[in-house]
Amino acid sequence: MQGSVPEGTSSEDVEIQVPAMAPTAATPAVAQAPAVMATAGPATIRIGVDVLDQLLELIGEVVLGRNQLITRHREDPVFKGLSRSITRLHQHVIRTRMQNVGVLFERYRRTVRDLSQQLGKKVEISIDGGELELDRTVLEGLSDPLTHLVRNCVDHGLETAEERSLAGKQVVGTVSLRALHESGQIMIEVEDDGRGIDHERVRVKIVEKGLASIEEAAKLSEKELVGYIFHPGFSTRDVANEVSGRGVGMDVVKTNLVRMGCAVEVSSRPGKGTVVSISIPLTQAMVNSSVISGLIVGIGNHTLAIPQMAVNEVVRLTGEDRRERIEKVHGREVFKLRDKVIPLVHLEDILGIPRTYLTAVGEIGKERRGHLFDRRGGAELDSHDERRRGADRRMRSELLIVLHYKHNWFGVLVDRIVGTEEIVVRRPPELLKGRRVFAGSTILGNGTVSLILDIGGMVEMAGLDFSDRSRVLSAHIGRSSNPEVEQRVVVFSCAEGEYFAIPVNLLSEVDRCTVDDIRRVGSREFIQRHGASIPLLRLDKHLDITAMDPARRSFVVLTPSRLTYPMALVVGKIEGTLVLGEDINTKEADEKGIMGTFFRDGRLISLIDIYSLLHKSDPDRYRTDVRQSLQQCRILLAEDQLFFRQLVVQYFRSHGIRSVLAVVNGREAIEELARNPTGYDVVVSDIEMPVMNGYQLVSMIKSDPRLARIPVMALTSLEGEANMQKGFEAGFDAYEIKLDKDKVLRCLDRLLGTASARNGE
Amino acid sequence: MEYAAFLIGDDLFAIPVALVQEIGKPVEIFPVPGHDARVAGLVNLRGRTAVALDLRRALLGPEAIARCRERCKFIVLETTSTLPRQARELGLDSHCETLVLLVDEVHGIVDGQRLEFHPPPAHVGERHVEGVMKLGDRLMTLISIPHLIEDLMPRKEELS
Repeated sequence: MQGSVPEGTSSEDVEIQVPAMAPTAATPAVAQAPAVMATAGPATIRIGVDVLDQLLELIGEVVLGRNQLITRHREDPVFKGLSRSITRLHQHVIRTRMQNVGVLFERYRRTVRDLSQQLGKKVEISIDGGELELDRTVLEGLSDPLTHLVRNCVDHGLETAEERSLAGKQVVGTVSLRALHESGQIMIEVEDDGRGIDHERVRVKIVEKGLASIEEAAKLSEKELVGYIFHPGFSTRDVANEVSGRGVGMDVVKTNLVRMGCAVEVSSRPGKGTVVSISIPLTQAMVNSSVISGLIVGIGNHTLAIPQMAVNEVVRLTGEDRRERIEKVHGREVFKLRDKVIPLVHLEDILGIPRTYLTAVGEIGKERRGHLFDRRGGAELDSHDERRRGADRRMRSELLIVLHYKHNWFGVLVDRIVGTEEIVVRRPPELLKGRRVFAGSTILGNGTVSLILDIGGMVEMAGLDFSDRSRVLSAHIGRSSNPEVEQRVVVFSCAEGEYFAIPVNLLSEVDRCTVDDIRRVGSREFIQRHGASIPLLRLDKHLDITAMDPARRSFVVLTPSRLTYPMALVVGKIEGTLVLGEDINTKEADEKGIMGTFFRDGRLISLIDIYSLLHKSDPDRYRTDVRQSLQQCRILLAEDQLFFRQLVVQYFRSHGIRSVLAVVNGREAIEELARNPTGYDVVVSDIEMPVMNGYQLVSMIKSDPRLARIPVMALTSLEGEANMQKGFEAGFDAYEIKLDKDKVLRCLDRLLGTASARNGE
Repeated sequence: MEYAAFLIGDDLFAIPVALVQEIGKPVEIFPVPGHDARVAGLVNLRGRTAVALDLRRALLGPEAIARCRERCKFIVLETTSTLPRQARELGLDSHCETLVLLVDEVHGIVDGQRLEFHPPPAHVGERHVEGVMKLGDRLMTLISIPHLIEDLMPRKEELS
């Protein structure tokens, strides 16, 4: 079943660690260092891999069956109990095949120490992201290639102490091993801060080895040159030594990794160092039958799933958008998305199928235009199109899915969006292994078998080259490429001169519509979206602002994400996006619905608080009942993003909770708790934070007898059952997704209720 | 050895019956976009995903396919690991994952011992043709599943 990973069918066993004592629900498993696990001496039993695989296969089927029943029995308490057990069973079965990357990384401490002594170099190793979990067989498969890469760093990459001090660098060289999540893929990076790859030397070597002529070699770009180190028998080191460098290294590394379904990339800056990044596709990195959230899309008569974690937003294109926002650069289509220009690709091209469009009667016909850009009657139309000139019968409203891959954005055009679903990921069948665009397959709730798209594979098939070029450019513009630390907002206006902003990540869709798309029932307005009618909200009805020009015919519709009762804002025009600074003035935000104001380029921009606005617009529906006693509770909030910090604080305050202290990371939270252990009734913490993350924070709280009684709620953007489970295992008492605020409050109520009951015993 | 005989168009083909897990009515096939048409698509076999092979396209020429009528039956194969021991002892092999063969009609089970067996005719180059057997006055082609799959597998160079 896991054909790409070399494994025996029945002879291979997995050691399963069985904790000697029965585990309690709050065992802080995540924060434990691997070394601790080893010394704890857990009992182990040997189980054949085939048994585990069958177990995984079966539990996958059980979860699928459960998912198909969910809609029918949502309210049935027996079913709910069963469903929870299934989720937990699934997690446990998955865990039998999972292991921390840290376990593998730690092995290289010794490699680096021994090797650096042998070579007389001063080298440190830095390990990051060790808590990430991978399938054990994949981890084993990575072991040899990583050994080679680490040895390469120490031997070839890093200079001797003398060379380093001459070059004005720190005497001690560093080898960094990193593991990170990236658009549903796992990236493993091996980096050294050594001499880098000498491009000219590679060029000479290429000619010497007869791999290219002098003229050809002269034309090779740096990226292409670096790629040659994966050629069989290629080594720029003249003397092969016993450590590494017999010139049979990198090609074997690459072959082995590619066989596992990984992609390998090298980038190097002379004098600064080299990074080798290995990207492991979703289904390889994850255990078979894991569950992820997928965006289900349709193209022609095919249904496909896109991992939700790679999706930035969905844009609906009108005919006008197609004319105005899609342009060509060197024959390639690009899309103007606010202040960005992103490559536009057709899903049909990626899949290798003919482009289709839906005709007026909903039938599927062959797309006859070469590109969306080809306006009818344009010079590029073929004779067939000439004959069909006339009224455009196409009804297809194109949907553009904006995806990201290693901080680069691109847009993919699809026919329809079916919805989002928690999907059970299955490895792709052997017969489809050659198609890198497919990460795996799944069976949807309605029984449809759907293939899961791999973002890396899509980028590859679309011929997108997100090389250093673009990265250098974005660094040049001075933008941080880390989406975790910056808070991007969409700026829009309704009437001239009044500007508003909403955080991008609170919106699920940004759409255009015309006055004809809006349906009216009395004073209420609705719009049709994905087969449902959604109420529209006009800002001027609830805030003291200038109304939109009644003669206005085209609007922008902003759909907030994660609403129990979906609704959308209708506004005039999008002005662009910008990154929120620390300069928000919240003092003046006395009006409900406005969180604060800030100045940018001479404009005063008001930050909208969607949730208070909703509450104001329809108090009955968006109301949350809060117990009087809840208002007395004292909250410690750990959140690194300024925006969310203010949002959450303000939200609590708006419900009468006065005592909220906000800190910016786990370290500050634990210090505050140490100072004042009885000062707080509840801790609300983000998970992804610098210095000390939420997992570490909660395990410290729960292991401190003075603090263990304080309930801790995770308030995070990490969705999905797996993350939730991980959170509970780390010790969180509750897990809520930013920013379903009603649920947050209800959850708080529940937590404090149970906490006081427990403490009152 | 016993063989499962099936019809594709007007031609008779056979595979060892030990490879057959079940024969069933067709379920919906979800085609794989942009893939070799000999792979009909993916099917949902009671919660398990399996690849369905279009044997018309895999075994017949285009003219013969055009003559085929719309009759379809599913033959679900055993996987290598679920193959009965006797079958393995006979040197039979299957695929590592569950496969579904789409055939036009199932002819029946025939006892190979009573049939004349001939090696493939010299001008038949396809490796998946293992031999020809005479069934009454008709000829029946014996198919090798491992060879058939090998032809459908992505080649090494495509992988790298």
